[in-house]
Amino acid sequence: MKIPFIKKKDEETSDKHYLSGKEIRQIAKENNKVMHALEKEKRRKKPESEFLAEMKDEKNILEVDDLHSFFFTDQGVVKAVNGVSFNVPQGSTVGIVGESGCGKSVTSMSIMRLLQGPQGQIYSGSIRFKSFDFKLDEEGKPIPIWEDDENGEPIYDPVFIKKGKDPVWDDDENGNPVYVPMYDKAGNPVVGEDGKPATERRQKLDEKGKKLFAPHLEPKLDKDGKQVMARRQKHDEYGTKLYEMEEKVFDIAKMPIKEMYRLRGRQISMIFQEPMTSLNPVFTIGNQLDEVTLLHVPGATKEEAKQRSIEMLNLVGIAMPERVYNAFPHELSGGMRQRVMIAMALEGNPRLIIADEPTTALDVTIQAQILDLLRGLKDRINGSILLITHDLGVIAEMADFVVVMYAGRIIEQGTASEVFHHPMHPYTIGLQKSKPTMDTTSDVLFNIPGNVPNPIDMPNYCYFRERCGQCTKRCGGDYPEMIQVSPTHWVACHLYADNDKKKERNL
Amino acid sequence: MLKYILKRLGLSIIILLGVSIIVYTLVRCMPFDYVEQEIAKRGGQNKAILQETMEALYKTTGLKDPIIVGYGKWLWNLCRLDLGKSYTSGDDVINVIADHMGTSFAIAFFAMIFEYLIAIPLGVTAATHQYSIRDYVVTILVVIGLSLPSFFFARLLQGLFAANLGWFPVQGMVTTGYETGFEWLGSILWHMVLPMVSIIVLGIGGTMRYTRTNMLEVLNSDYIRTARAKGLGEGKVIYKHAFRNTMIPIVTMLAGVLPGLFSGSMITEEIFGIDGIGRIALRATTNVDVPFIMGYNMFLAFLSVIGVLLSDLMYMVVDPRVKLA
Repeated sequence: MKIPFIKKKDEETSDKHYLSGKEIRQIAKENNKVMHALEKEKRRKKPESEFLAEMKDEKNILEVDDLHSFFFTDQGVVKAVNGVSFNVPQGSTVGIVGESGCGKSVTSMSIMRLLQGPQGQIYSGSIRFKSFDFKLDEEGKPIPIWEDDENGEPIYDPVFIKKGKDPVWDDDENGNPVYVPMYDKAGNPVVGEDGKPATERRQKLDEKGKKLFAPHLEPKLDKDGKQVMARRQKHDEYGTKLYEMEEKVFDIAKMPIKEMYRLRGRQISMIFQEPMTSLNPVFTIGNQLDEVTLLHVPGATKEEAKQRSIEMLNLVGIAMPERVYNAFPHELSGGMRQRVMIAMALEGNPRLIIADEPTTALDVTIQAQILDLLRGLKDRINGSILLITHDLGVIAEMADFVVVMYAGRIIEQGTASEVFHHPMHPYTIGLQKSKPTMDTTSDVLFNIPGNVPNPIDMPNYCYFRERCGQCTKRCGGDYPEMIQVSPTHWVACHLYADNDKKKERNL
Repeated sequence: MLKYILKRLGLSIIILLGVSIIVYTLVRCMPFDYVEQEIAKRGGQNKAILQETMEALYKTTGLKDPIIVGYGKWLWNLCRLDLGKSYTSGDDVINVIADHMGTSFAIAFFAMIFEYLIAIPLGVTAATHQYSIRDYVVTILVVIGLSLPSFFFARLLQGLFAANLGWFPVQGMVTTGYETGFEWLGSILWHMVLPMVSIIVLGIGGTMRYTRTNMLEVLNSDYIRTARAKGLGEGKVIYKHAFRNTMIPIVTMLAGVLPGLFSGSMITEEIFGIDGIGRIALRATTNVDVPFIMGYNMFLAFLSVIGVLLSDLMYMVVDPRVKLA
């Protein structure tokens, strides 16, 4: 498979800013070929061995290796992500920063395989993910973890089936029934047959003042009339059934879409940047939350799902989880909705949470609360966070490692302290300068001149050349290689090609 | 809730009054009237007798009255729940409508069910496979159906399947001789195939295009991406999360459907010789049968008003964000 490049007839025509109808048709034709091949590959059924992989470093949970994600448009191939490699170690937060249109979101969507097809495709590269999935027996069913007593003997519980409902009585402290006078619908006392006012046993009321009922349980019997027993399964702290797990490494870029369904939501979950529109307006919060448990925990009942959802809402700091559970998205504020999104992301107990600009649409106080929440959660779930943002403040607050992207490529990456205290690439330096600070008294905020270039037909020299203030002669040459300046710090800039410059920068 | 409905019904009386004024004025402004038509039909008779008949007819119908007077009389009669007598048949307008509505309603109702059953899945497939061959084929076929004039398509069906191939009867409602029983029912169904096909094919286009557009819009929304990110399969994403949202605007179409169910289709009924209300209305219009035209149109206007109210109420059922007060 070859990448369909637009062939220019000669140098003169390459300057023009429009495409002729003929050229567009030619591009569309070539694009179609590639798109069809990639779409077919996405749907093809393949054995698991084809997309199993091995991690380069066992400490990592995610390794993105030379990822290329393209959009095939009639104007040409948009190389939104063009050779990106980075790692997410277990238990850490990795931040991706860059201006709008750098390919941050496309990178995250590629990891979830959520690029809008057929135009958006992962063209090449690999995304290795260490998944922690249910261990399956020979029949392809997950193996439950049983709860045993002290002697190691299995515990059996009788099985009940629900049939009708029973009233819940409101008895006094000693457990004796309390009788109250009966009233009819109009509020008049009812007189019994013997002429005395009729009484009824007091029933518990719910919040709305309606009489409370509980489902009536009946023992389940088999054909011989014996009570059916079921072995007791272990549950986690939220009452969700536990199964045996095993670790496997998948190459997400090669997985068929159908296989992705078991990673999404369960292993990797995502928090989106628009809480206002990211929840379905016609279903209740509870319905949308329960869906995740019902989908990802085999044999989960509706009650278990509800219990877990409410626990999750509690966990993300929602004061009245029961009420929010029954609410529709439009009844909640933006911050509440983002909390619900986070609860939804946690519901499947994922190992990696991708937060795509989680605080962009929120005001600063809510922003701080949400960031606190995310930080606390990372330890709880024993997983990692991939945080995507253009806000350097958020990154400085949250991230252990920072990846700076520009025009679909990584131009600098390192630990948070390296990138913040010793930024090397002129773009990173510019980004930091354009952040407003309290301690300087300057009237005009610095900004990097120009915009991110449109990533169609990128030239083969440093993409930042036109906007760079420290441009040298060498910058007209090939695209700079990644240069290692410390064990964890890498930069793609010609300025640091010779070692003297590195020393000058005091490294 | 009840207050809201009552308020809306009160408002609709004003709307209906306005509609009746416009319709009555327009009908009376026609370049010829019922009496002239009637006299012209009896061309060869004695002039004096004709003159006499004409005057008598004008006296009974009141067509020489000024428009305002005529309208006042019509309105006064309406207040006494009397829609007048049809000029052509001499029966009460209400009875004429009641007699013929059943047939038209049955045809329109079943045609609508088939139409929705075919159009909505087609729209959904076209949207989920956007720009694929399936999408193009469905869209092209449906637009052809949408653009065909009903008189042409109905005649085409009639000529091909009834006259040439002889698979279906050319005209009529039921074969003579059958009165009751399964044979009678079968005969009716057999007669209804061509008219129904004609109505369905012409009607699918709008609904299908509407579904497709809405579905595409919904599929590009953020909450669909969220649903996919949860790990839901494509079927659940489309038929649970997207479909309900797609249905919200389709519900508004109910407003247009309700009067359509009872109005009958003039051209199709005329061509296939079906004794429905559409055919009667067409004849009444050519004869300037003022009471019938007024009764028929007011009936439809009333249904339209109710339809709009119903669709607002339906909105509340489908979309939890809508609260009526």
